Amino acid sequence: MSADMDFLSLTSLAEALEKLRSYGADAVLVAGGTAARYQLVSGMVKAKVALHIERIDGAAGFSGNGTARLGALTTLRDIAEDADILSRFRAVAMAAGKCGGWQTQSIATAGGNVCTAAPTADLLPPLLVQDAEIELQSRARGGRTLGLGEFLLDAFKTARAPDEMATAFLLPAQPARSADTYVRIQRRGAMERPIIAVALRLAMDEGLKNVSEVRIAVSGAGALPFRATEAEALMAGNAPGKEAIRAAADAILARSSFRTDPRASASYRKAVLPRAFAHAVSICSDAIAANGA
Amino acid sequence: MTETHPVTATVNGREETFEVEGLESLMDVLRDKLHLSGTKEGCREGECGACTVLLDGKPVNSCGYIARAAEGREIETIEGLNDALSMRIKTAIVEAGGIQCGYCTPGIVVMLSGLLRRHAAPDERLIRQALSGNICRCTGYAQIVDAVLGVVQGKAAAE
Repeated sequence: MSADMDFLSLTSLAEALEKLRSYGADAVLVAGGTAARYQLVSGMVKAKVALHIERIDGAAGFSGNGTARLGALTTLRDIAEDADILSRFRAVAMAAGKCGGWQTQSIATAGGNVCTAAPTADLLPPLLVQDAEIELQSRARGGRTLGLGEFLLDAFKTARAPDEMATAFLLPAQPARSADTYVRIQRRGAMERPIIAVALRLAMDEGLKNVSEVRIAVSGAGALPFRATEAEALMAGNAPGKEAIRAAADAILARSSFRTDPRASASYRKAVLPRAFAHAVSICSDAIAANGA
Repeated sequence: MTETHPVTATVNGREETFEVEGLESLMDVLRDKLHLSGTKEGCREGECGACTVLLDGKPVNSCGYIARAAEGREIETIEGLNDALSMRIKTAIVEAGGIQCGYCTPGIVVMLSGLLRRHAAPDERLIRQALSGNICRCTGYAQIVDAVLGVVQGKAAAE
């Protein structure tokens, strides 16, 4: 245990940014600590000081019409139960409610889930299909926003500078006649990382016949969750029937790489991904049809 | 000698000050320094729920929570849950036969107290979701879920 590590509990963003400016790469940010404490105790992450940001004022919550703002310190349980998020960005709420158990979700935050950038972090696929941006702030340079796809560099690697803190996620409004969902394949009902997960946002044209736009993000099929842009392009303009789904699934598989671990074999992941994707398409199609009826 | 730091928090309604090392877990402090051994150590990695306590009313795994982060907060352990709602939960679990070896029981009671404070009348689906982070290898959960449903229905009948 890093027994000699300093631990500073902070209550304001200004204070946190000031400490980050002076400690930089020697500091690690800790909110609920569900991931960070394990990383520090195991030696996976090394730091001289832990900056405890869990109790910073004003960095939690969901607000805004049109483009919505999700505070980085919003807990996963609050996201899972927020009626506004459930109705506007359903997949985000679903994913938050599937990460660990309630004891984890009570204190784990959106910012922590994204910035840890674990290979199967639950919030990544649903935020990727919303084209979410991450807002970063630093004392020296003020604020900037970055597309989530640019922010995520590799497993456990992001574009966050050592003196920056993630403060929010910005989610553009969903188009008309659209629905989103998160399908997670796992061995148990909870307390388990996904074997494969698919987030999908489907939008239909006015006649509800053809796909006007689709966004697909997959996890468990590479180092980090990714947007399957080739598959998205193939589906646009076509009816979301069996043929189109099969072609899109092939395009997803073409850029996937699967690994074998104690949860599942690579061949199982490869076999289950097209089914998870097809299931996600049918959930979204049904939801759009039900809303249009 | 390892450096320690004083932390003051409200534990079961009483202000306590304890010395904490580095990233020492809240569970170790509760069990070894405050002698509140009702909080059980199971997996030590936040997967089994045996160490669940309420932190400012919210259920958390104390084995993974940094004790120094608890400065100024309110902590409730199984020993402190003697309010009417928690007592109804305990009685209902006993009457439904929801205990066999008993090791997971404190964590489950704490989790259910947290659930029923947040949701007065959860349905079976929500109860099972809430319990998904508490591992019980004896009962199969059915009796525990029945007990909670009984508490919810009893509450509804009483109101």
